[in-house]
Amino acid sequence: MRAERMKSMPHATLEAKGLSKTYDAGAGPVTALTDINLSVHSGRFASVMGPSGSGKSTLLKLFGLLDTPTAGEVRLEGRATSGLNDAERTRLRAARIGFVFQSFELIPTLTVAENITLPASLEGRLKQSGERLAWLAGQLGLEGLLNRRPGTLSGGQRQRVALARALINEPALVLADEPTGNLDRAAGLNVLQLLRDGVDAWGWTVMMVTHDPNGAMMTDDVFFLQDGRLVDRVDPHTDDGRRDLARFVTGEDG
Amino acid sequence: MRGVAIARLAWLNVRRRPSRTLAAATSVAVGVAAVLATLSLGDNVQANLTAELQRSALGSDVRVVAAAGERTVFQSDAAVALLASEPVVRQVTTRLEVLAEPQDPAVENTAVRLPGFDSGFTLVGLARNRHEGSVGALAEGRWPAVGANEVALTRSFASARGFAVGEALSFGTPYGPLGLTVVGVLEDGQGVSALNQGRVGMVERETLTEGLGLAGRATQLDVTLVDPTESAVEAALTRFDGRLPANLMALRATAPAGGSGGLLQTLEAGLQVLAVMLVVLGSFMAYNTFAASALDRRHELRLLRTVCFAARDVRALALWEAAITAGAGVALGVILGLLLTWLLASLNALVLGFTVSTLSVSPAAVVMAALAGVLAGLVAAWKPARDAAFDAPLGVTPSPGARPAAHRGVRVLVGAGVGLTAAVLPVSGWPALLAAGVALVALAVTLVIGGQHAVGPLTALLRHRPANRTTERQLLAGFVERNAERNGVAMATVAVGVGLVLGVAGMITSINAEVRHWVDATIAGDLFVTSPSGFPAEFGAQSEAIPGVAEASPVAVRVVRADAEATRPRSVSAVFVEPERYQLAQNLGGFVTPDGRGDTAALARDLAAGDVLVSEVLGRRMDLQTGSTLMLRTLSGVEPFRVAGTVVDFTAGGDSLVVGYSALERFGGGRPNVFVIGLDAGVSAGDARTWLRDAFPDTQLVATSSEQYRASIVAAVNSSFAATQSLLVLAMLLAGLGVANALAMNLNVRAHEWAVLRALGMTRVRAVRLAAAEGMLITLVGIVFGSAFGLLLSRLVAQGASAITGFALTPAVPLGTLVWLWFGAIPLGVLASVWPAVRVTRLAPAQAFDAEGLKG
Ligand SMILES: Nc1ncnc2c1ncn2[C@@H]1O[C@H](COP(=O)(O)OP(=O)(O)O)[C@@H](O)[C@H]1O
Ligand SMILES: [Mg+2]
Repeated sequence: MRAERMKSMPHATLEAKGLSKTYDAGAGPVTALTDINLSVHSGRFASVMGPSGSGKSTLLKLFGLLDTPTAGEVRLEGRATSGLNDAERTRLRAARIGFVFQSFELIPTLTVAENITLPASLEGRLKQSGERLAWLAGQLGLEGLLNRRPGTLSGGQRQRVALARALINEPALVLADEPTGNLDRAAGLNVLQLLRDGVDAWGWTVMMVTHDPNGAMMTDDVFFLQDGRLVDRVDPHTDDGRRDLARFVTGEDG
Repeated sequence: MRGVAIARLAWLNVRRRPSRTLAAATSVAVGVAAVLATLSLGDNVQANLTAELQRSALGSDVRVVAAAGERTVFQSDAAVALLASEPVVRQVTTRLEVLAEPQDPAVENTAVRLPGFDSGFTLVGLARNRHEGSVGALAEGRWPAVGANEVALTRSFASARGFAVGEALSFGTPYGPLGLTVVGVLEDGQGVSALNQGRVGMVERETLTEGLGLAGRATQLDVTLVDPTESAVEAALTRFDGRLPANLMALRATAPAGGSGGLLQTLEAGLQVLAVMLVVLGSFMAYNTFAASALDRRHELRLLRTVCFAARDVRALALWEAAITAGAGVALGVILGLLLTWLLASLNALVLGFTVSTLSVSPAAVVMAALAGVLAGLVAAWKPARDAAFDAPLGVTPSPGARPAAHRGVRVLVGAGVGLTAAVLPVSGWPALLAAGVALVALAVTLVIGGQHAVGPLTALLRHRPANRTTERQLLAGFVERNAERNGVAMATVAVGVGLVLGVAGMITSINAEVRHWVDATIAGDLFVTSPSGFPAEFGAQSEAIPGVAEASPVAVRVVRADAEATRPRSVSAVFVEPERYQLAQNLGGFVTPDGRGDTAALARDLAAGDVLVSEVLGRRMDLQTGSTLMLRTLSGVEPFRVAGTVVDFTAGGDSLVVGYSALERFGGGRPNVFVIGLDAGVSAGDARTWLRDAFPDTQLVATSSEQYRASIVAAVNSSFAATQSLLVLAMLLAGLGVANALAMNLNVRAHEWAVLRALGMTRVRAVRLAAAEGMLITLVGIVFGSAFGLLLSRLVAQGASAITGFALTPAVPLGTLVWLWFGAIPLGVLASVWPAVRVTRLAPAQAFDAEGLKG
């Protein structure tokens, strides 16, 4: 059934073609990514795993149009992004991409509601976003918190606010960099479950970087990075995939 | 050992962050430059004036001039012979300077030369035995030849009037017309060109003595001594004074001729106030930078606290860094200070009419400035260093409320109270200036500690305006609130700048109002007539014979040497008027007393009896009252004159006195400078002008109406303050720098938050707009506070100004400046805001993934 849907889709939501990134740091060039080819289709929950320094964040920055690749290209909803200037990329980011960060990155001086609607406001659609705000607050259990400041919330609450902010503009893609990294086990699991439910119920498309094999287990595709190369891709819904995942994780640990 | 290690770490830290170090060092440098400029400005003005006088001495050591007035022509042969026989004298050369106006038939000359305000054009006739090297340099053509009617003009004058080599000109002089051919153009600012603000033409002395019938006459003898040392010149002066005839006096060649002393003093006082502000501003900016740096490195410092540093060590580290940075700032500041000194000296030069050729800075001034810079750096770093030291080690929850905010409100109230009290104190003179200073400092301190209260209402407005309640407004309010401390400093610099501008502008407005009042009250004639070629002897009687002309009264202005018991002798302008006719009842003009109530008829009677009237300003400068005795140099030596009263007079910046016209002969005589003409009722000034021109076809008369004459006097006074005003612009620019600095630091500290906003989809244009809005808000609040305070201060400054300038001023509200300021501040605020705000665009939004998280 999944294969069927994939066939009917003309384009992948996210596509990396021959993606490479070399940083020109002070001590000489650092190659963070080499020739990455992958795609994430609409309504899928994908994850990226890999040891520290393997290029996961770099990949997410490129997908989020926050940085430009040294070679190759990122296609978003079938559209090439390499020719876009900063303003075009910024607008595309605001309209089609949602971000969830490890450290939440909520604006401390804005209320929860203002934080959530910030991307809508930047898009000039603050007024129209009221309904969506109420709906997201309901979905993510934020109803009583809308007029509070982020400083008064727990970590789990903050990350749910960040998730609502990522979704306010009904983006084509949500990018999450270790969204559970700063949360305790229960709160982390709650956030992951919310993402999973959203993907299943509402067709969200999520690309998540994670260190947590249990988190990866809840996704549809797991991409493994090592030294900037895509070394494996597994489907955790299959037994083979689960075995690969376990092996990869123990290998990494050992 | 530990100290050395900390110092080493500080050095590494400073080197690791070159841009931050540069920012902090620049801030310190501004302060250092200000101190250096203040300390050396007076010296520089003095040095350059002396250099100027040295150049105009044309290589001589002593000059001999007529005792009564410098422009007076005297018989020179006997004096030359006498001086030449002195063994200490190497050489004597004669100089003849004659006022002249090139007549350009193509242009009708209606600009009246204002005696006491404007020195006109001068022909300088030099004797053949002059010191060739010191005369100057030719830019074009050749030197005038002996026996030919030839002249060399300065380059600036020739180009201003469009005269070229080869042109034949006719000059009107007090001794008749003189035809001269231009054969050369002189380089500006050297030798002869340095005389009379460059409005000179150089001729052979014979050309003037023969052409104008002045055989054997001179206006000055330039004496070169065998031994030019200080003590030898001093001895020679004493000896010459004893042997020269009474109508001549010997002066050091570089002694100033006087005249503009009052204005110079005013300028210097204004500059010193500005310089103090610069020091304060420099410290503020250094504080900003250090505070931002400490905040930025909070994590690092906490880490150090965790691993191996005591609170004491963190403080030491921060102070070491500040000291190193201040050291760099001092070096930069000395360079900047030299530049500033030169700039300010040039501005002064522009106003006072000399060229800046030397830059003298004493080592003591440099040492003082360096000390001030290091001190400012350490003081600025103290609080940030302490804050850093107070930060808890990692893993320890910081104790909340380490610095209670309760005291803050009290301090704000105390600061505001002190400032307001000082601003409304009923004092004048030096105490008024002191009060103005206290009020400004209190305002600054209040704004620094109460910054968030100052913007409180504004942010509340931003937050709660129901309509159009965009998130951007909320973001702005959040930035303004959190940056309150730094923004307070920036607001304070703007407010102090604006307050200062308005305070000084109020003083200038008062002076202008005073001058206008004087002009309106005392100048009443229908027509004012001058003549570059000099009036014929019977001009007065002959013009009164013209039907329609009721009266023609002469006025002469001479520079005389005045001596009072209490003060140093000074050169002042003596205005000679006819007491019996120069009375307001006669419609020609008259006197006004400072309080406006004196018996001016009685004053006129005293004037006729041989007394003098002193201007109110001169009275204060020389400590003279009614009944005092003033010693004046006349043709028969120094003579006592009784001061019959005080009047308002601004001739020569107020360094003036009024003398009866009949006494003119005792002061060297000569023709009047102006005739004040009264017309019969119903006669138009235009008609009368034509009649006068027809009646005196050989005299190139320039006649202006009363309004024109008054306007040109007011304009002349106004132009004296042009430099002060341009310095006020400088103060505003520095305030703008303060805003830019604070904003840059605000952005620096919140770089990560900006990166997140950019990542979430804020375009560069929007980001710049949002960042700049904060700067505009700071500027706006600063201007509002500064305006309110400045208007209060303008009264104090005007009242304090009398202590420096001798002007007794009625405080006036500088409304024009206020309007100008508000309009000028908008582009300045935009510039100061947008310039640092553009940094946001250089920020990589990818940074949102990198740094440690926001506190939210
Ligand atoms: N801005 C940068 N400049 C230079 N090198 C960088 C930069 N960002 C990341 N790197 C380098 O690129 C490699 C991959 O980094 P990153 O993508 O952050 O890995 P991960 O997120 O998997 O830990 C690392 O070697 C890292 O040091
Ligand atoms: Mg990472």
